[in-house]
Amino acid sequence: MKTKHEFDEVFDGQKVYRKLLEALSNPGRKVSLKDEASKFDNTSVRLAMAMTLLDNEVTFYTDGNEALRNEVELLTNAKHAALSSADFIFVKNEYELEEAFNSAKTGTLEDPQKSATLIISCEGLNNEKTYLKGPGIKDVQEFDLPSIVKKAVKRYTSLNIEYPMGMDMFFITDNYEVIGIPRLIRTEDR
Amino acid sequence: MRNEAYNFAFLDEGSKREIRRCTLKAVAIPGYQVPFGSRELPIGRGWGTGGIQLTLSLIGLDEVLKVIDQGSDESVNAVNIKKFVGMCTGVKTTTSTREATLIQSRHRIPEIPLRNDQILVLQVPIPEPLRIVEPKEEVTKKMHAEKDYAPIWLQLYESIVKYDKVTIGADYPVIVENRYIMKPSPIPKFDNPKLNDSECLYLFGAGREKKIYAVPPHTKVESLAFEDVPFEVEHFEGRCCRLCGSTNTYLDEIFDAQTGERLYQCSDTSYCREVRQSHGK
Repeated sequence: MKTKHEFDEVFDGQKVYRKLLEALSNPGRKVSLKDEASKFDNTSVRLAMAMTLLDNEVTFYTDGNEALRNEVELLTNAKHAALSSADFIFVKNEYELEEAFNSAKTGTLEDPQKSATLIISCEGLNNEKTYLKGPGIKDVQEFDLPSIVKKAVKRYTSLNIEYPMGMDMFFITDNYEVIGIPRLIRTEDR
Repeated sequence: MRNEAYNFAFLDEGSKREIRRCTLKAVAIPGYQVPFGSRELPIGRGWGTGGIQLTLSLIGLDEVLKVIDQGSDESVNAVNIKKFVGMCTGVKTTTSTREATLIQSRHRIPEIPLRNDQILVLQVPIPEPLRIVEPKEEVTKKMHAEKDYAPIWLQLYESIVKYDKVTIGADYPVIVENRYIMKPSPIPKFDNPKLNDSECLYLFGAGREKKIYAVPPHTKVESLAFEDVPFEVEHFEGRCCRLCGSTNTYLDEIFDAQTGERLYQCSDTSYCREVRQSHGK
């Protein structure tokens, strides 16, 4: 039988989850999802992440990307929702990121977990020296990250969203790596 | 050997996904208790089900699992959890802290500093530090939202007024990243400093109370204290482990009712064994 993908929900899902957990608890670290992403046609980190995190209990948003929307709906049973109410938001450029920052949900002071997670593709972007600090990072560390990461963290900081409310971000590099940036991470200019 | 009659890691994939999503939020908001739909397990709530659910959601085929109960690898609770997880995953289990990739613990953090590639899962009986001053969940949630921690500071103050010291033994509250007051689970005060700026990820699971929270690596965790009454850990001056002779570990007191003698030995049995082996005893 020919199936649409060879991603194993149980075992590949577990591996992807552990890598996402590693990425989010060690912000700035690049964690490779290549093996799991290659189980989909055209190697898709986004679909590997969707299969791991999404199901009928959560909603997602793709900005006009019908192909991705259909695939995620088909694979996970998650429902597509408006940008302002989606739990997971797939972003592919700076313009969409700005829209997400302005409209996505940030949770409430009582329930900060009811906030959006942004999954951002960094296609064709050059790396840039980025200094990050915050929980998960010892003092201030230097990282070589796609240029959008630094811009995103700066822009996010300028929004002045009152912690613990906020948004968490995952960036996907051209090499099928994931970088986790939780809401408390800040950049430093040097 | 894995029992194929069960789903890998017992829980269904939908349950795991929900626990995983909550855990990621917990890591993003250190010290905040994320509510989750605690699942039924073949073990009664209050027997480590929060920790078990975290372990089951994390565990993979190449994991090496260690389970400890009050520092001991051999206690009934630890052995049975290890057997249960082993039965539905088939993973390798160990008593060595160094060898383990995933450690589930009740009430202790191992003596050997943990590495960045290790995760420590702690079982939590009562996750809410404000419960002692406020019985309603609705209200404590609001207090956390408003960072209204005056009543808990007052409780510490009253303790000092009455007894000249803070009388909390285990489960001494901490403040995480200057924001959330958190219960570190009933670990001794001796272990509290290990939470601060650590290398490993700490995950806390409360099955009965349906909460998950986390302390990521290199996160600021301070035990509550006043400027003039600093935080103090348990002291064991003049005492050493009767088995390995260590003077730098957390010691259990064993009282012999017949002779009236008090004996001390390492609470971390794996560490104690390692020290004895290195001494060739």
